[in-house]
Amino acid sequence: MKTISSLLVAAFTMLLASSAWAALDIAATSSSTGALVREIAGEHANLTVLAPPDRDLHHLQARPSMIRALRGADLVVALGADLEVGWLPLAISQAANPKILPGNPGYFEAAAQVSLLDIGGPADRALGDVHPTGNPHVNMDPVRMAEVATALAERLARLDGEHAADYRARAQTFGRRVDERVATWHRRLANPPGVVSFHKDVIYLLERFDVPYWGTLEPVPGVPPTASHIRTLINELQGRSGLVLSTTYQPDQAPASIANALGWRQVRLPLEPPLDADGDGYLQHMQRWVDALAGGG
Amino acid sequence: MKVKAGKFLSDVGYMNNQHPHSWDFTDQNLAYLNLLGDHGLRDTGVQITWLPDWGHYTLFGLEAFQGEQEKLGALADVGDGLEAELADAGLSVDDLALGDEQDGPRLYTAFVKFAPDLGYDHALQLGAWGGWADQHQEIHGDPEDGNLHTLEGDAWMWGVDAVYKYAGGGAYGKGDFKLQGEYIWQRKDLDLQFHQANPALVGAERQFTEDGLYLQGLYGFAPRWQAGLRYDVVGLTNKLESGGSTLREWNDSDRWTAALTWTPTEYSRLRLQYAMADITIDGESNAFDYVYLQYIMSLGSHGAHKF
Repeated sequence: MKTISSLLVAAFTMLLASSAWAALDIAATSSSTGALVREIAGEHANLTVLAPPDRDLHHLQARPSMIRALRGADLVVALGADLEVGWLPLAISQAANPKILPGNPGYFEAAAQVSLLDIGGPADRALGDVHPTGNPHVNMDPVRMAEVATALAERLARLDGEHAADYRARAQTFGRRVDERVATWHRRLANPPGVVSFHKDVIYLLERFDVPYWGTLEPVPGVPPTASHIRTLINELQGRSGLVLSTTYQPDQAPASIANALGWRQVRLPLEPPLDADGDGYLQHMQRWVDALAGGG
Repeated sequence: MKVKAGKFLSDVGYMNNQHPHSWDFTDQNLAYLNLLGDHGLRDTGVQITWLPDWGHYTLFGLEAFQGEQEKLGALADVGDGLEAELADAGLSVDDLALGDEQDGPRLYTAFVKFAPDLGYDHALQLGAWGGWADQHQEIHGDPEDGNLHTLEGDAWMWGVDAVYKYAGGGAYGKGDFKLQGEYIWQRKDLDLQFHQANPALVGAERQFTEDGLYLQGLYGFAPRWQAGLRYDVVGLTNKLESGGSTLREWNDSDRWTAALTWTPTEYSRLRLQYAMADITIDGESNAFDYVYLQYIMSLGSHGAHKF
């Protein structure tokens, strides 16, 4: 009898375990897409974030640990627009998981859900690492991220119909919170300074709040700042008052020197929210950027 | 389960599937160069891989190749020059007694790779592989010197590989570190098919054993700048045996290489490389110094960032 009851306990434990397996396995390429997954899917998903927030998503390698995470994934959530082109397609192909192949329901790109800036430039290497499909850094616009959250909820509803209503409700709640914050931030940034950034990765944030964008330290995307380009920028911007923005994985030398020459403030912030961020964590992260623009950073 | 067919670089070892433009040094390491060939094991064939859904990355693979190789499973090539020399010595190609069966597959490999999940900053991959060629032919000597002899049999190899990478998220690879090494062992079990000077030797066993290894490190000492150091050696074991007794032994060849690489953009790379080598040629040790200046520019669509 004792044996039978322990067998029953074992069987019950296995049942419990298998209901835990029913949760979706989701791989997010970055902590910002990871934050959306956490916000919208919550406890219905086992989330793996492929790249930590201090990495440049352009420059990663298709590591075995990523391939391993993609192997059993039901859904991969990428920023898209070719941002992860150097490693995600390779990692997906090596993971041999047809569910997450582009075009299938298990493949989701944030950039494909919203309107993009910088679309349709020539695909010319002389212009640097350009993305003719559009600028991929949509994670820097909270409004677009709320749209992405709504699209993600629909995708989750398709993959896991049982919790469809839950996903949609969570996306709506997140959208409302974004709207409230963005309204506050519009007031806060009523009179913004002009901005020079290292890479064109802040364009969506600046455009959202009508912040003047005066140029990038990179002469063309992906090519490091040159002395002559910095001199040209300094000559052009002499006498104006502005702000130099860069992210934590970019070298600090050029931003510091131009800020110094122009007498501007310089702010260096992570482009991605903390690894464990959810929707609130993402908004707190955007708050830091807004504070920086407003002069409190 | 994944199947791939066509002409491709075998996934044995760590370096083998890398194209020359993504090598960390200008030239192939001595172990690969002498035991697999300049571009490694590349052939027409079929590969089947299996990546089980396990807690840590583990990949199993099997490959079958046609066997168009210069090193492992080579077929003797009797060119016009040799044919003329044979005729001068009163011999024909048939006298060489080499099988003319050339149908593949004649070369098979099996490999396994394992990579424990060490988080975002560290990565380690360990691999082991074996290869077997069921047909291997060689022609030695010179008909004009009266010492021409031919050999035929089979050949097999095995190798182990390890790579460790540290990527700390510094700007443009600053602070990144990579250490990789491989050991390769090769044996050719051949029989004499023809011997111009001593026909009584036909049928005698000739067993060649040779091995090699390389160890290389790469460090990103500044954004976009890498320094590399490599030691490679071939022939640590380098001998000819017959019936359990050693007939001949050869010395090894080794080399130290230092490289300085600048990657101004994602699509271009400039490398200065210096090597100091001690190469054994015909039993004589020769010292060489090499300097390379290499410029690599990639065109077309964005290349894949392989691990």
